[in-house]
Amino acid sequence: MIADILLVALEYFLLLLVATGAIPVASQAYSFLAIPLHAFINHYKKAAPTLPRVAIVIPAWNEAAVIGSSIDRLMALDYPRNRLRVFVVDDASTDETPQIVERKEQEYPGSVVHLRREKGGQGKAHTLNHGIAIVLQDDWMEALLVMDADVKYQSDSLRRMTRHFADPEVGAVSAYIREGSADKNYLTRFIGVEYVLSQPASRRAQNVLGAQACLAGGAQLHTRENLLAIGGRIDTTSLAEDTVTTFETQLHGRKVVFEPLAIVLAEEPDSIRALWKQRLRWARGNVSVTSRYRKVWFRPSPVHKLGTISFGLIWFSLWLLPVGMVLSSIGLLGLLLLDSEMAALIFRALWISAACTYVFILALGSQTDPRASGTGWREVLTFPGVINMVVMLTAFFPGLVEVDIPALFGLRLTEHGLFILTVCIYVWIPFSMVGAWFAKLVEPTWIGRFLSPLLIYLVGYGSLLCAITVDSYIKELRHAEAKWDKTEKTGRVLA
Amino acid sequence: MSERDDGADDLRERTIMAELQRDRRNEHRLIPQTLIAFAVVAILVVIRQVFFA
Repeated sequence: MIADILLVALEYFLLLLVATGAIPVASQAYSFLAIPLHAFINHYKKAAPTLPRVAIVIPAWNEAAVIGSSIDRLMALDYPRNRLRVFVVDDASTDETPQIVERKEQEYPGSVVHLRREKGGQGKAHTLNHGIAIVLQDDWMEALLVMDADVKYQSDSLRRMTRHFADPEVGAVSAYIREGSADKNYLTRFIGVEYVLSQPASRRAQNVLGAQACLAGGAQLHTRENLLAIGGRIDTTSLAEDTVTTFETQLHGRKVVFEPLAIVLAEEPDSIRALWKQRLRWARGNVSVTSRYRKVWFRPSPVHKLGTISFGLIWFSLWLLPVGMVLSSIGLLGLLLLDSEMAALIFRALWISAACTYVFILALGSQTDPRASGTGWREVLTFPGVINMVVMLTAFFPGLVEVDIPALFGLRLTEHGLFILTVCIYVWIPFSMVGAWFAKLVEPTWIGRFLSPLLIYLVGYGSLLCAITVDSYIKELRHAEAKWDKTEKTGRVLA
Repeated sequence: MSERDDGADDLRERTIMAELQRDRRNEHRLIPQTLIAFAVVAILVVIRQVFFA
């Protein structure tokens, strides 16, 4: 009797574990269902032609490959030249950066200013603050554009951002960072697709929900009032200073608007190791942000919408995605070993909903930037990973993978074989993260040149990001040093 | 500011305003795009129901 009760309790507990895997799926579906509402709930009705005096601050450490063309692009913006000033904060560069910026200073007198820090290496936030302190010394600056040295602005992008400042409630505007390398490889194409899904798609949804998670580090525009309200400087205690700035803006009662049509091109990592380094920094920064704003989550406020349940779900479902996936696999495996009839049923329900959500996300998201999606159409199709797609097919079309396809080759799975296949399918997600980690491990070797891309196509780009998030958990638990590791830029974005 | 500068500013403002109205109208494209995405999912569901139910 007691054994039966315990068994039922265990079954319910395992079901609960499986359900944790449904939370990120539901959160993503909710977020993407909000996108069409942007047709009506957007900030354009409060926008108007506005051309404030903009100070552009560019932190630069050894950016010789990119800084010259970035400045040229800024000077070619369709924006009144007398309302633009570029301040390049050279963070004690040891390459040709100072000489290039000085040449640009002479080429564009009064529009480009070279600021030099003799003692550098403290990170982006410190470098930015050096420039911000100088532009705040007089009242010329009405808006501050913070950008990275490698990003290339399309000529209409800045004026598309400033028009939102016609609404005095807006504190900051972010642009759409599009992966812009001229010589794309499989990884930059995956990043391109990720950026399409996370920016012109997801951030439109965040516009609708009234809360933005993060201003793009390479293209964030603040009003002077907002900059002063958040302390007149960029936070230096976090690796996710962009997110802190975004949160502080909204906590001070000002809106943050994402402008999907202001497009800037950026150079993104072309190797797993470089991507891992960049995203680990972001993930660890987000851990600190989550802890720092612990009193904001799930506490609705009349001042901002960061405390709404919907925003909290979006934030935590991304941050805790690997945990949910692992718990879900444990739950499924447990139910299978208990010989529960629920195992197959709930597996099918979970993966069918995941398949429908992913198809919807990819179909809608890719239309929000057909150009970027077209370049990476292979990566759009394989974004969840080929093996994950097989798992989805198993759930969606029962019998196809286990019976129909083997039958084409005259094969039939035994009961034991079917059990092994089912176990493999149920525990695949945690192993996909191991596969992504292995792809990083072998990347520098000769075999890695072929094996690493193949592994990423098989396990999925999402699994790679989940593996990096897991690494951030481990680093945080070990209290590993959180240092600023700059992503190297080589000038792959052509002006 | 000269009359010519005033004219240029006026032209710029009208251009930006036209662009803004165009961008606002273009956001309505999200509705058919969403319907297409729903249709893709619906096709998958129909295939499942017809051949694998």
